[in-house]
Amino acid sequence: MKSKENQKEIVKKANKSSLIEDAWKRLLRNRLAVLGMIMLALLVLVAIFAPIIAPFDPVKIHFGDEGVPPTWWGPEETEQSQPAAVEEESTVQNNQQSTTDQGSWTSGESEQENKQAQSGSDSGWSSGSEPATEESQSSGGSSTGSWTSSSDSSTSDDAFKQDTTQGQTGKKASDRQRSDNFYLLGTDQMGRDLFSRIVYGARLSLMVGFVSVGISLFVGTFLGLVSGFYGGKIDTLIMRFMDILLSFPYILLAIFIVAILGRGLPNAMIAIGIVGIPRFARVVRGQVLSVKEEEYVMAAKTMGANNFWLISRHIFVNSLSPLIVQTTMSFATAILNAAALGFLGLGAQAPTPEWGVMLSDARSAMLTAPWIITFPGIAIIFSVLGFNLLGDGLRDSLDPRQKR
Amino acid sequence: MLRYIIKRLLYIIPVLLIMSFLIFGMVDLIPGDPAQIMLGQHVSEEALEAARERMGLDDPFLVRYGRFLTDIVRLDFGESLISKRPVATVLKEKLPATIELSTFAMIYALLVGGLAGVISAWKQNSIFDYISITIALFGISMPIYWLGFMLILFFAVFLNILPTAGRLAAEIDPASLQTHFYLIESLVTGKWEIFRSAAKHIILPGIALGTIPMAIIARMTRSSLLDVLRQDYMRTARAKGLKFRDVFVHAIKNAAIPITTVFGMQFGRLMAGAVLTETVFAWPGMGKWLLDGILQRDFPVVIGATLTVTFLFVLVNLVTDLTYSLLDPRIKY
Repeated sequence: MKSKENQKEIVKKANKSSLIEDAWKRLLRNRLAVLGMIMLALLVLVAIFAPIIAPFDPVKIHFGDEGVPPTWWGPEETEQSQPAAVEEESTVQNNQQSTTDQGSWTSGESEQENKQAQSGSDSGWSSGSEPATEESQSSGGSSTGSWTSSSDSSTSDDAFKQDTTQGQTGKKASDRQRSDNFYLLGTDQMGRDLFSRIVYGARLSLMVGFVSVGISLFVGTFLGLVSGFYGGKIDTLIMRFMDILLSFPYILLAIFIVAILGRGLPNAMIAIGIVGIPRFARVVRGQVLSVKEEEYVMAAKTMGANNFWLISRHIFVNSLSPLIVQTTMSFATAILNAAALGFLGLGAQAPTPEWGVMLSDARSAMLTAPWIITFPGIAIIFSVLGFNLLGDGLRDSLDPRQKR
Repeated sequence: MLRYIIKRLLYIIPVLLIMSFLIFGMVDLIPGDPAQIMLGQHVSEEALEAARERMGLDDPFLVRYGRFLTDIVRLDFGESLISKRPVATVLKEKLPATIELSTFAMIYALLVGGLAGVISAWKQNSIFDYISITIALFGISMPIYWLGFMLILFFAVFLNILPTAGRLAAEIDPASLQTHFYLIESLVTGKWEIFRSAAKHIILPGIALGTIPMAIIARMTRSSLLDVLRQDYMRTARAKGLKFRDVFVHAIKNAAIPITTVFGMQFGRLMAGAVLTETVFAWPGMGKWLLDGILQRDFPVVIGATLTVTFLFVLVNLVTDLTYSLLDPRIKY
């Protein structure tokens, strides 16, 4: 009796849940996929709330704070008292030697109290207080020598527009010294807050993902649908062309397209998008070829459905599963390749807080300030890993026939 | 079989023709006047005009393409606009560097990745399995140039046991070698001093370059082995009383085809993927050369290098296809 009820319940449940629900449930059972989703959610949140999360303007140069290591970085974090003369020298030389650097940083602390008195809370960690901090500094005519750059109005975010309205409050280079700003991940060799740059870089990476995957998705799907559905000469023509595109090594083709279109992030996104088209076309075409032989397509055809209806209502929706997986995976590739183009100097350009550009910039200071080159790479791995984990999980969950 | 090989080799010719047309066309689309690049900024309009005339830049596209084709058939790639050296000569220096590097990288990838994949599949869900899956996942998610920097920081700076860049130590004169296959030639001729230096220099870039293929091969090996082990004939073999070890050896043979495919594709891709690694390690190979060519708009270099790389790519794919019949006797051509 009981077992019968159970059975009924199971049947009921089975009828209730749709295919998508099933896939979703399977996805949630996959721990790695959930981890990937959490990572991506984090990435998206960071990207959306970048102005709130980032303590500083990502392109603002904090003069005197060049190459500050994170407070928790490395063994050189020992307290050292250094004469003031050494401090001055080392700040001018930026980060020639991290030990001297460290010395100047710690000896600079002696002036912290002095500055605190001048400019109120200068920690600048919560971003809400940051512009106010800047203003109080400038109104104080501060002798602390904290410059605010007035040149990057185009790239700075609204929240930081106030920076540009300020005059230069600093003094000569020899007067520059460490501010007592708190830099979670330190600053780069130009004196820009690394954490803020990475946070803003998340926006760029996601944008690259959406735009370039969007291009490959739309064009590739269209070509794949047409190719698979109509077959014949159109199919041969399209797919041979796709084969040729595929036989160029991925990064090489992207470099070529950027060289033709000109450098810059928008063109890099277009290039990555174009390079990704053949993969989508192949996946969709393969799926269409198998779906169009199904009986329900034949049934719709006998009922008088035209080609547009057949493609959009029957064939396309039933080809979605591998397309979703391909899309997720393509995000990972797109982010990696955009960073690679940025690194080679072909993608986003210098002050932009793009992760690849940051890695390229950090090369010159690699030996003296290794944290600058470490963190952007970790950021790239984090986001790419997220997409790869989710993609793997989706592949398993969308194809229930595949045993795990 | 022989017929098939000949057929495939002949098939390369139209492919290369289309490729050369596309490459020539794409390079032609890159903005920049070769005459201007060759002569520099401060030249008179007359001199530019004369150079254009001499180089035939004013001819229609198809005429220039035709001339280019007749040149490359004789393996004449022209000369660099900037260094003025013949592209074919530079190619002879750059190509061996890249071939050595990518071969080393692929051997590393196949050994480490293949072994990790096999053990993962054998001891599925063991700790080793989890560790190697995790490493493989990181491997495919990592920018290789970043990995290169990390390797330099750890092995060259922190431990100080390996050099950071280049192919040979500065005190060794490359002219003492006949070819540009430093590693292979010094090994064959027994110049151990040079061999040790060359080997030391190739380790870090080789690992950096080979990591993505390594990760992909590890994943592929594991999943295709697991696929094969689930087949009915495997269960039958086990049911008949064969030991797992014996069954496993069969499985490796059957899983070899997808692994070979991945191996071939990755190897072909490495030839060009070396752009990033060669930039990081200042490796004087094709990738760095090609990138510099594009950045400086040195068109003959770009065409020559790209054509060579794509040719190698097509060739590796052909060899991959041919290996199938060796691995699986059912595949007959």
